[in-house]
Amino acid sequence: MKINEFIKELKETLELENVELNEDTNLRNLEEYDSLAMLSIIAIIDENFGKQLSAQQFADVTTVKSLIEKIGLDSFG
Amino acid sequence: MAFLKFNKIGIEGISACIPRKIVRNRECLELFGEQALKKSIKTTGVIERRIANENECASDYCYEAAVKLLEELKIDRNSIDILIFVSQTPDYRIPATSIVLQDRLGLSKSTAALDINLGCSGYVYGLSVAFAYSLQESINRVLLLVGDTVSKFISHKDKTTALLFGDGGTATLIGKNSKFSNSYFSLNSDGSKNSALKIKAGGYRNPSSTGTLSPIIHENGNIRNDEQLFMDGTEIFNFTIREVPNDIKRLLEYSNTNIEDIDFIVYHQANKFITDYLTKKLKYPLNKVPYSLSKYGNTSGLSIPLTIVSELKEKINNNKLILCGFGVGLSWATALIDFSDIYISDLMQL
Repeated sequence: MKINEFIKELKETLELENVELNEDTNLRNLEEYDSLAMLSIIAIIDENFGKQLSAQQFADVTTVKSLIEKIGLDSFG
Repeated sequence: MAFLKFNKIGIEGISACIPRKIVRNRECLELFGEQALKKSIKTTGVIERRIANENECASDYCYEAAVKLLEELKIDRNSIDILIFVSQTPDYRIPATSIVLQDRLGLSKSTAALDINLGCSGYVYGLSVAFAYSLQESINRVLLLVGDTVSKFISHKDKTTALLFGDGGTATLIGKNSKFSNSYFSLNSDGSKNSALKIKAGGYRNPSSTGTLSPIIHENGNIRNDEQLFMDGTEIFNFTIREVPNDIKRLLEYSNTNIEDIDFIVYHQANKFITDYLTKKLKYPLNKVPYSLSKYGNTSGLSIPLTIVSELKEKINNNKLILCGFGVGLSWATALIDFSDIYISDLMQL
């Protein structure tokens, strides 16, 4: 999965039609980034990368870039 | 490796009893805003739940379910050899509630009675114990009662748990009959993640005190005391997607069965988003996965038999089912059971 595809999937999953989402967006500032959004993100990561982020790793996520780094840059196409 | 195989042992009948009192999640606005409430209902799948009254215990629902089942199947109560009560909300710390139920149900004094302290995985574990006892020549009938009143240890001010749980009790009669073909079980546990679903205090590790009963405001704004349930949703979801599909696949392999030959998968009713995701991972049709979650919530160990009673009564007929319970412990168990000629009672309310 490419980074831009991942960001697109995130945007759809978090239902952010009218909100700009890029690598520098701070997820913590988004109203839509709640514990339920995290379930969907866990599913996206599991489905596309076969990985799981722990609750602690999620706690350290700030920007979309930091989420991508937690998944691991080398996991992306 | 807790892989078990049985032959000519099976489930004769199942009944379930739930509280009459309904709590509708959309009315729980004090804790959530309207948007957040809608989203929560959408993701979890829980629209409403049944909540026990103050004076009602899990054993009361199990008792009613048991009486109904035994009467409808015309079972002589003296023929029950073993009574197993699975619950995490017993009547008393001691004695075991199964023994109190032995007396309430008028069973013989030579009935073995024991409790099992398990939640989400409790029905499948309970069945495995009942089936194992039934291997004995002298054991012909085992009555498995699974009930909980989880609502009684939930904080109404904790967003992670407030809208999820419901109460009730079920009765399952296990017996020997040549009509039953092979059944298989896989039983697992992981205590390293025991903190993911926990009531910290009130046992002997952290005894009850005025401190443990005082509500604490946690960093995410959720309020609960140490004698109320804590749930780490992320950890539970990770655990579920990591372990459950693998356990189902392993059991299918052990039993030499293809997933296409399974007529229904009945999951522990925890969260529809999660179990739909598991079903997709297994490439199994969503329409063969029944849910009672929207009406009754997460009912702990009884969610599997309750779902069978409420959703499969008219549909089940000599089917192969996979039952999968997973959660508190962490503990998880999968069973592949041949439901031949099973009697399912009408759902009752108390």
